[in-house]
Amino acid sequence: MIDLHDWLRPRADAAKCLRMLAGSGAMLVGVASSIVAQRPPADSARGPSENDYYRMSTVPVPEGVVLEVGGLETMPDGRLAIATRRGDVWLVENPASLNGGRANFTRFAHGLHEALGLSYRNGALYTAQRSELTRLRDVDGDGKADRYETVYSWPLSGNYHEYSFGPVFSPQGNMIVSLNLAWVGYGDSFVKWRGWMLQIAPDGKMTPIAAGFRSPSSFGYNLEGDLFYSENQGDWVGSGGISHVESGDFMGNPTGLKWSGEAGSPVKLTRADIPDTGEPKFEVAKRVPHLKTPAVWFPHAIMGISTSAILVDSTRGAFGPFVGQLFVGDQGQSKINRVYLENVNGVYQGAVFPFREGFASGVFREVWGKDGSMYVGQTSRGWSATGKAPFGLQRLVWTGKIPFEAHAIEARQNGFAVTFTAPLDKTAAADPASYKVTSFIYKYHHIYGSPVINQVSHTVRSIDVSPDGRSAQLVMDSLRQGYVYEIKMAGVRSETGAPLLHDFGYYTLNQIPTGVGVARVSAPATPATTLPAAMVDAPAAISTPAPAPARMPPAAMAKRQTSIPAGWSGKVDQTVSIQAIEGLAFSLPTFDVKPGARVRLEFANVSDMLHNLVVVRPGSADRVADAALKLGLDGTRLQYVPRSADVLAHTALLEPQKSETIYFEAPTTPGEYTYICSFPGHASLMRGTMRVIR
Amino acid sequence: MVRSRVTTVFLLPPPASSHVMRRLLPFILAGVLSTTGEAQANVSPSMDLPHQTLSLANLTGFQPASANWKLARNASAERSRSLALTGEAGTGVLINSPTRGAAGHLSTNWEHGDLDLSFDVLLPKGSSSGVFLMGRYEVQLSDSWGVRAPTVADLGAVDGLVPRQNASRAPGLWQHVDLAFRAPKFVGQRKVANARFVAVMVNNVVVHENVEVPSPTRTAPLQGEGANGPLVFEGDRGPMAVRNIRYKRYSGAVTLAGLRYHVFEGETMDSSYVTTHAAVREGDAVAISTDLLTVQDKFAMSYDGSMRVPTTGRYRFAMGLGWIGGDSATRGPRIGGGRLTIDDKPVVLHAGAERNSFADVDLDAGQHAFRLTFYKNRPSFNRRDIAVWVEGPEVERQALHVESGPNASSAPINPIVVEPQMEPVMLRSFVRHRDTKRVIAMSVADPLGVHYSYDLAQGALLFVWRGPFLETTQMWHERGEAQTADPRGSTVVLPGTPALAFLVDANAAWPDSVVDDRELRRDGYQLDKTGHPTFLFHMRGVAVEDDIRPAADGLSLRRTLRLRAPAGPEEIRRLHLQLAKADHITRERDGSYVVGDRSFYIALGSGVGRPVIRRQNGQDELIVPVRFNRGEAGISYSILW
Repeated sequence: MIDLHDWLRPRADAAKCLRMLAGSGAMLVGVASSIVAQRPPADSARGPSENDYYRMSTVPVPEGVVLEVGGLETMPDGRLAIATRRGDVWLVENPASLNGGRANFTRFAHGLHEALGLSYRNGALYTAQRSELTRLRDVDGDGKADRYETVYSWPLSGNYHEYSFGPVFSPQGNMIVSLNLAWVGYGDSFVKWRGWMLQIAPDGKMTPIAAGFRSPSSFGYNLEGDLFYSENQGDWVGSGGISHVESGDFMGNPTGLKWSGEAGSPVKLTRADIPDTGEPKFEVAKRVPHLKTPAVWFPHAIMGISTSAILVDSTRGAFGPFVGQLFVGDQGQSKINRVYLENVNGVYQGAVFPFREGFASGVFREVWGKDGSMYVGQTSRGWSATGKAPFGLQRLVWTGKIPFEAHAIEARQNGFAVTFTAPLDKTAAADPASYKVTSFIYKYHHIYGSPVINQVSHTVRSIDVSPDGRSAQLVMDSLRQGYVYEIKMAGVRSETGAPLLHDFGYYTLNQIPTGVGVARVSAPATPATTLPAAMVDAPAAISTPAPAPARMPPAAMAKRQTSIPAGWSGKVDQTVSIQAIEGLAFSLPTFDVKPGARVRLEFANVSDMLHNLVVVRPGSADRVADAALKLGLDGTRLQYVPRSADVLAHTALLEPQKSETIYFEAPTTPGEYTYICSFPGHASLMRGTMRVIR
Repeated sequence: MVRSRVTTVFLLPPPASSHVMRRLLPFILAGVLSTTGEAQANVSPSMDLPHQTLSLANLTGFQPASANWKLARNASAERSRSLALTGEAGTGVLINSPTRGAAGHLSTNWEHGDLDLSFDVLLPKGSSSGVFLMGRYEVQLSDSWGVRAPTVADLGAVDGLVPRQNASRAPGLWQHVDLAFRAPKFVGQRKVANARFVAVMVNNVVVHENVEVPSPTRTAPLQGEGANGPLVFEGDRGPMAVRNIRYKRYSGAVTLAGLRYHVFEGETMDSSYVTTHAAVREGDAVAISTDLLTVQDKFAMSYDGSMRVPTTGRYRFAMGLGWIGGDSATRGPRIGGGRLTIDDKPVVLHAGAERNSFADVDLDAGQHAFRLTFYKNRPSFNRRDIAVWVEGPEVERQALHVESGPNASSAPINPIVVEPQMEPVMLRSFVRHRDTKRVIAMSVADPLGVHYSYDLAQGALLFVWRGPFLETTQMWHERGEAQTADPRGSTVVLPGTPALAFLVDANAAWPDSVVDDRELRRDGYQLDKTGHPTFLFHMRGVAVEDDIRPAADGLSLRRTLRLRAPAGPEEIRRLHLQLAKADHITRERDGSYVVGDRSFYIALGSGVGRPVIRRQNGQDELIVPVRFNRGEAGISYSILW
């Protein structure tokens, strides 16, 4: 079977594709050549790709099976068990299609209400439906469930967003489930335990564990047996990330605290205890006991937009060099990140690195196959993903080659120790110019998401490369506790001269260790160097970023003009209204204007993600989108609008339910001008055409 | 311009020609609007003027009737006796009992062209009859109980066309028929449009929509085509009873002329803005529309002109402001409003609290001064559309506006349906039942084409139906914000109250719902070899198995409850089973019960004993105490419809 999806992955080996195509018939070559032609230049020019180390393949799914993966489990016999959003449970024999065979699907159960988790234990499968935790058993041995047993049930209000996730078995054999908030333009907890994580014993006894969850789609244990869950950006959540969950924790969204007075609640906080000041969460946590900050922040739009599956590398090396690390999925960006955790002063923290991108649909669930390969269950329905397939089941196999990667970042008293998977070119590794370190944090408030705030660029004072060439200690002048550190390592090379496969990571510095592996300070300390004023929002202080780009283009009119220009004498030639709507789309695919017309553009965001609207020159949409993606941490401050002559006019980046009106003069040259949302990952779907017609 | 979003598709009543949609609208609205917080009022059926009633106090509304047509107080037919139809002396129900000597048709003494018609029909076993629109175009009224694949002879078939589904009920039950019929149109002697059934609905489901009938039915009493004809009930075939004949005839239209518009723009709009400020633009208009606006959110408009109404009588005007809905009306400053003035008298005052507003006015035929003003004060829904409808005597509800702007069209959504193949199909979902959303519910399909919905939290049946199973688009398209699975067939709506309850004494009220999971603890369900589920739950320690499955002939649904009680507690003697609850329940001669307005039957199975009909809060309840024998009890009964 030839899988075009596989070949369409950006980092697929083009030469290999072409070789395979050459042998598969002229017609197919004709079709596929045009596909290849649209791809970026051959990878050989860019060095090794992720696929050289972690090869992705697609499990063939029978026609007609809507495999929107909600739960994924490996059975003791090696079959995969898959729960779907349409309520089926499939058993897949030979999922790797070994021995020339093909994965075989049989339906084990059906009719569940959006099953979003699956675990096997003692001959039964367990899944969370919207309203209950259900045990599925096959008593008569015909390969189909004939017992659908309610282990524990909880109320629902009837809101679609009240998803229920799990279960995951705890080391003690209890089941953990998490309950999403309802969405009514903001998260709300209309019925008991929405926004909570619950523990359910095999006999059905329920114990609430923690509160303050918003959209806790995924959770799992590390090798030490500690529980982590992944959270999505939204109200009270400045950016995605993973957090360590302990009994009595409050994770941050206060809506669910209305149930903290219920019997059995280990959380005593109430809604009134939670300030809404927009301070960083770690600052608020100093005053609010049990408010938990993430173990690792995943900077929004850079490391993903919707954190999902958590899977610890328990393969004892079968999956490569990252034993004990976490592989954390992202649904919206169809990729998997890698997390290294350490425990400092009893608090988890660590670094997130890119790992593997290019999945067919939205990454939602991950599980180990018996052979140490990873199966990745996917769905994007309702939340568009970078991978355009509506659903998918793919497999990652370690090829046996070790990628040159930063294996880990650990905190030191005055810096960071980075270890690598291969010996370093010591000269490059010791050069401060090989690194770029920036720290920042997010606001903690009821508003959806957060800009990057308090961003500071740091000087790497010195670098101490270990004698074995496997690690580098970066000595900083000072460290800011509670902040996220972006550590870029573009100049680092391996002993053999190879660049890193991924040359950056983000470390969340919840705690600063004392007396642990202190690096030598080889130069006199000076204060941290900050960015030029125009590039920074009040360094090291809590601030509201300027709503508009710091620098306006030198043109006669601002590109983001939010009041009627004085020169227009109050006269508008044309008003256009466009909404950003759910499903990553603009409400209006095209509109016409006359050359030079004075346009009033009303833009409203009625979806539940962040969006802007950027009018660009003909043919430049991809270029602008790419430049926006590269803004990285500066993205939110610049509204994800790159400084570019291609950009003709734009709105601010709007959070859900916000609107903005901008004024601009239509180009005098007739043509088809594109408008896009330049927020990373959106532009391929969110684009429309402004036709300038005489 | 392209319409933005599915969820707004049904927010405005559709054009008046869409009869089916209009009927279904309140239903659809409930589902669609649940996605926006369920705050929006439904479009009330009273947006329409009431129908005319064909009186059945006597037969004066008809041409002289042959002896087979009689009036009665009621009608009944035993479901197992062929062609046997009886009625008690009285009026209100029309009964046709054709004999060798008397088998004439029954024609109204008025004629019609365009006609909306609804009536109830009751057919004895094996009967086949019909109704001829304009005396020419027949709709079949046949006992089609149990027919799996309907034909052109079955209930609801329009001349030569097979109904989409068999939506019929059992013989002896009242069934409901809705027809929207449009007469052929002629220019001189030349026919320019065929007769057309805009909609044929049987028991509230559509069986035909927008089908043309090029020529009269072969057996019709009138042949040759014309612009008018009487409504004719067929008299020479099988017996039937008919009642509640309601109709609207249409012959004219309201027209606007000399329309002038004024556009106002400003920062703070209100209802008086159009009188206190100068227009930024004005001109002649051909129809009411907001396409003349250049702004979206802060504007007012007025339309002035002359309106001609064809007939003297009561007219109903309705105004819809597309940007009002959900929470938008209640949060923040006044969002908009409107006013319709006729001959300088205010008729409709739209306060902006709900999307639609309507009022009645009596008008003489002829010209009237018409003035419409409306405003929008802040962003909402990305819409600015206005709608104005009028309905009157012999005037079908018509739009005085043209659909405009981004709401004029929308991208279609491919429907998602679920149908059983070889085995039963179960599906957990939310289920819309009467005015509530049952959130812990399951629907079960049988390959025999007999289906039901069940509330697991209540141990309660919600619906039974035959025909196609479920539409799940509202659940599986995108986020599926309604999360409902909707029956595709004609449902018998059951009370949805718990089947079992502990009653302190014989007069204790039956609970509407169980309090919580301490009263009813769900244990799940188990499947037998054929894939049929049996629901399992505990009520105060009594273990219950609730086994619901169709009879092999596909005509009924049998419910079997098996109970096990722990030894000891007196309380279990208070456990009762409710078999039915309705306005009326009566026992038939064959020992079964007919429920409601002859809506469905209950047939007793084993272990029931002798149930009692008790009157509680204006309703009849068919209940029976559960009798345990050595801690076990088994009761079964069937629902037939």
